[in-house]
Amino acid sequence: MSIYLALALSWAGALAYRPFLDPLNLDRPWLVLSVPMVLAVAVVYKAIKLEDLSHLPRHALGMAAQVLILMAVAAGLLWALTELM
Amino acid sequence: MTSTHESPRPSVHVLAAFAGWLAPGLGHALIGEKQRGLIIAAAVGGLWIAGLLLGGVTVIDRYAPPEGEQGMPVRRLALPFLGQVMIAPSCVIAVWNARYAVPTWGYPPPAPRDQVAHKPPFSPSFGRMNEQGVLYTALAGLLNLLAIIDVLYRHSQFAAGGVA
Repeated sequence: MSIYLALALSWAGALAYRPFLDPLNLDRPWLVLSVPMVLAVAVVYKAIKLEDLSHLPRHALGMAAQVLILMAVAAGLLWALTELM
Repeated sequence: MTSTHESPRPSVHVLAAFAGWLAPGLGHALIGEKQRGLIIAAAVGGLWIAGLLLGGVTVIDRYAPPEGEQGMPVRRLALPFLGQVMIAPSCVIAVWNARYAVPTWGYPPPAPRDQVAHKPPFSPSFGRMNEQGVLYTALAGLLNLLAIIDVLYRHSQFAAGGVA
């Protein structure tokens, strides 16, 4: 019963959300928010660097993937450094 | 020894750069790079709007939370605001936010009655959502700075005609 009450309350909270005035409740999946951020950085960087914009999607996706992979590797190394050593 | 052939002065698009500060991508559109301008507008504008949706308008604040002793807090400029200010609409939001700022410095502290009179129409954000909102908007501003510098010195066929 309590789970239904919690669901109802969370839906009520979502309905009460006023865009730009209230913060969104995305505390748990906050790490996923780095993906659109990295994608936007890659798109702007490549839009400025490339002369021919027809190659933009491929180059931007490649750069975003490189950044995300490097971030994951750096996070893994730091985790190993602090937890295993 | 002087050369008789002078190299042409590179054109500097000051007006287009200012337009790019007012609205991301507008500077590129003004010098004839409409597609590039649209892409920059979508990416930078989207990131900025996403930051405001995540953390609300309170993510754009000129001042960091006050520090110091009770009654004598020290106000200092928020470093992310230096990035956020690279998009002109951030300034409008910062000025609008400041209207609702309750003065927490000085002595005596404001009376509760004054605090109620200053009640803002928005909810402040804290924690992760505030961090993400600040990060998104500051990063959008820094990317717009990159676009402004690019449009300032970009050579395009439209600008060669002497528009900007």
